[in-house]
Amino acid sequence: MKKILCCALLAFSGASHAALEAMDNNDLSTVEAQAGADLSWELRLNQDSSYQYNCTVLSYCHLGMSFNNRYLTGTAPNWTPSSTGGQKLWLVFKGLQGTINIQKVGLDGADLTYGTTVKPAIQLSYTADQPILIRNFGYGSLAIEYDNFNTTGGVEAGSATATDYGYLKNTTYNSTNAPGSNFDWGRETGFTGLMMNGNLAMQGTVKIFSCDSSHPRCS
Amino acid sequence: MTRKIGKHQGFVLNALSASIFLLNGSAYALQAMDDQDLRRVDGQDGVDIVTSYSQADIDQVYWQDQAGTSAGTAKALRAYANGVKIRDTSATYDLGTELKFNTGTNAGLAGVDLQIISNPSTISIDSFNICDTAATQVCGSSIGRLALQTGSPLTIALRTTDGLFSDSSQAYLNLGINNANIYLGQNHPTNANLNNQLILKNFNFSFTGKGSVFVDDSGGLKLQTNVGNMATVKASNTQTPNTTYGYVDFTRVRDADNLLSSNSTFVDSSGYATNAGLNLEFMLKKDNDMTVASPYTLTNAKGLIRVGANGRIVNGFLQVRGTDATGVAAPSGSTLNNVLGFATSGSTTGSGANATVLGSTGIAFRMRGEFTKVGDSMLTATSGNPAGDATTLEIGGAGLNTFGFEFGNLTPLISGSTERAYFDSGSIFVNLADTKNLLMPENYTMQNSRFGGTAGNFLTSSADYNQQIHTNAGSVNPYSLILAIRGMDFQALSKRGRFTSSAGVSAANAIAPTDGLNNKWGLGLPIYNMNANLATYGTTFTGSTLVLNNSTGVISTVNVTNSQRLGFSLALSTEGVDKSASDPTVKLGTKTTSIMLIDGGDNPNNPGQPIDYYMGLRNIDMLLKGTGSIGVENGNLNVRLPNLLIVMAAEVAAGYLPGAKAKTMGSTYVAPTDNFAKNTDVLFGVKLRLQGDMNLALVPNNAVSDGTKFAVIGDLEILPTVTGNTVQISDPIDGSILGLDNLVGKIRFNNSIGLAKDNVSFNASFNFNPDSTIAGVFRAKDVNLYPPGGAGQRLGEIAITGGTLSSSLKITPRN
Repeated sequence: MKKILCCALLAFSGASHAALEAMDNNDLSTVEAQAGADLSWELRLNQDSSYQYNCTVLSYCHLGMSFNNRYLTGTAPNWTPSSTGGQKLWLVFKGLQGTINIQKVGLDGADLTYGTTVKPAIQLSYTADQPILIRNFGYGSLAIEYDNFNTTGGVEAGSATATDYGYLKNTTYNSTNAPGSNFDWGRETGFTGLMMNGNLAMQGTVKIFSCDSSHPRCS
Repeated sequence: MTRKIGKHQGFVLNALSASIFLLNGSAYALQAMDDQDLRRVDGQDGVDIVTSYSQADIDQVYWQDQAGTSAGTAKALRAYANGVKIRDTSATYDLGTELKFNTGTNAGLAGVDLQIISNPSTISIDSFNICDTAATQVCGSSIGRLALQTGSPLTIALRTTDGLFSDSSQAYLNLGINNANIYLGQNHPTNANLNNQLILKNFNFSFTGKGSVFVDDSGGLKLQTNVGNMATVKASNTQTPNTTYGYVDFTRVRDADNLLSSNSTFVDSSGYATNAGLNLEFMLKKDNDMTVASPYTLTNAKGLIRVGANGRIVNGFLQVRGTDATGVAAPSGSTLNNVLGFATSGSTTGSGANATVLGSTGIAFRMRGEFTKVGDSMLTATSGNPAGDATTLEIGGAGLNTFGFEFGNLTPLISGSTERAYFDSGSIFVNLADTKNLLMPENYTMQNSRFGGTAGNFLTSSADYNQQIHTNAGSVNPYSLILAIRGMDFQALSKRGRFTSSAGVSAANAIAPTDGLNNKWGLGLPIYNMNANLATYGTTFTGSTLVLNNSTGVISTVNVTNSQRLGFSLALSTEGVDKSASDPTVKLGTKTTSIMLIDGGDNPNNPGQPIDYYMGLRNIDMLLKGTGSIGVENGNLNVRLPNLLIVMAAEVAAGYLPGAKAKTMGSTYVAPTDNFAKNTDVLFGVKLRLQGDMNLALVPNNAVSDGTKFAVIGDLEILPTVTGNTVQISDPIDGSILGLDNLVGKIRFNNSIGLAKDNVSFNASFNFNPDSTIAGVFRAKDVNLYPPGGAGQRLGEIAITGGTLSSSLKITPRN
């Protein structure tokens, strides 16, 4: 097929000086006689179209994670850790935001050949000239918080006050708790933040397939 | 054909006769006269009845049905159409109907030639309700007004060769319902002069068929394409049409607006825009003034969605019959029996011969047909297409200035199969009912699918298949109209998809008639064993509806009080893959419910055959169940379903379609024909079970100027009072599961599917905890890891207190 195509191209190019041109996906698919699709996918969390954080009530843009059986008993500052019950501990990501824009990824079916085994696979192809855009991706602060009520036998006592929940704490830095760092005033309390910006340029393909016993690498 | 001279009868009909014939008038275009016309003029042959009238008014028309009750006694229920008016709204035609009836003989057999032509009219119905026949009649609320408006004459033609009905000879049938507009209007919540309307625009049911028409002792009235027993007489893929093997053609219809140079992909030989032969085009219109002389118009209506079908269908039949469920046992597992179970009221379940929901009378339908593709032996040349018109299906925007998508080259699941893709409606039952509950057939997969770590804990239980159709207190049921579907199949994969443009797009957006005809990619949306119960009744609604600001994307709520609505209850299930009749644990893998992208490119290793890669969500077992109401307030289609249950089990998979040969040159690998019964292609399994309050609105944003979107906005609130709300991802090989269990919280969504000239986009925006409340925090209260067999291990929990996650995925197919 390729030889025929090459011969054909040579025959046509004889009449005039044909310039060398980059082949686009359409050309490539013609060579491989294969249909597919190009995807572009933008994911945006808590940002407006200029990648600016757009949460108005800070405590209602948190992601809280609690690991199994992590509790505190007693009162501050004399806490005793417990794995059976007490005030539940939360790892809270505050000011979570970010945009990831996968500008172009090719989606095709492909054969994955391993020895004599042919396995059909999903092929994702990336090109470096269409990098993945990462914009203001991260969180403002990470904090360990706790509920102001007990959890006993997996059942929360609960509360009608939002800030009694570890993941809804809304403390911010101000002139009292951070007198020397007024640049932090108004920001949510915590111990670290993360912000990522960049263009991730990738070139190549990723093949995804079902790893079952029919494949030598998976059995 | 030689004709016997028949009797001639002439009628002059008075107004009373006019009301019997309903439709009237005749078309007087100048046409060349042939021999038959001349004979008619001379009054020597057949019957020709022409009626005409200026208007007609009918107080009430009703359909009576016997329903079972929880008391064990039969009850007669009547569906009333009140205040029926027939009016002349056509500038070209007068109200009237023409009936032509001729007889003739050939080879000792007598045949008939019957034609009915009914001129355009507007038939409006002031209200619809369901009543009993008690001495003090009890009636339900009206569901609203209805109107049927035709823009061109309705035609029915039947030509037979052996009597009126014959199961042994071929007849010709033409049915032309063209460009009908159907309006469902509901009162504006606060202004009695206004209606909000749901409109079916340019409804076409335009078909020409050859086959047999007969009445069977048990099967009722049957129209079938083939002469003989459909189980054995079947047109193979080498058969050509003849007097045994007929067909049905859905032919495109010129748009009522006579649109020339419209940039539509679909035009007739004169260049006018056409719509599909079977065309369902849904539009919405708000604040329509009902006090004007002709209140039914399409002005300012906005498109919601359009679906259509065209081309030749073979090996098909349509069956209409009566039903009697007296004394039949309740459904058991997946066994149909009396279909919907016994009638209930309050906490009482009826028993005995006269307590079935269906009762002693009812109507049942079934329709089946096989799709043709380009090159099919059953195709014959048409005036515009020497290759014949193969079956195509369409979906897209309704109205003008919008895009669409056409599915062509419809094939069955098995690659290279000699069978055709097909549609089978299954049995469709229509009844009036007095009950609170309806039963659904149980889904074997979900009834036996491991769900979490507790032994004996499955995705669904029998209680999930019991549908409560209203939430009224007490023991009095609203009388309801019930539609039940059992065993619907749509086994077709499209190997050629293409984008289309409707009339009214700009020249830059025009998609030419031949564009995309050689596309090599497709979409498969096969459905297997779909069952559904739909119950409707008149009701009112007080609560909030959602509206979308198109320019800002902000969703706000509008409260309505005692708004006229359609009470609505739906249960719907699909089966993922077919199973052995004797052993449901054995999957066969020849039929499936799936959503797949298909690569239909030419296979270099298998000349003349497509590559047939697929990827997507396959073997979808699903159960949806909800009861609430539907209204058309604010120009949207609003659906309120408190306590909606969504259960699904499916596989994310990629591989070769069953029977396809690997494309790697020299490879001898052929995907097994029961590929869909195996797990070799499965990346992971998904199971979910969500029960919550759903309030959603479908927004008519079809037009290019509105973004060409099918948009749905809504609130889903998963309440902590209902346990077991879960999303689980499972390993296809050993069955271990990662579960996000005990979900609670509220999500507001603004999702849309957008169609453009060369791409389709899936846009989603999820606003977690939109009201910023403690209860609205979205939590997965238990994140569990379940090993293969045995109890789960709790990893912890996750809480999302709020925020907005937007996703925009654009897919541009390429060859």
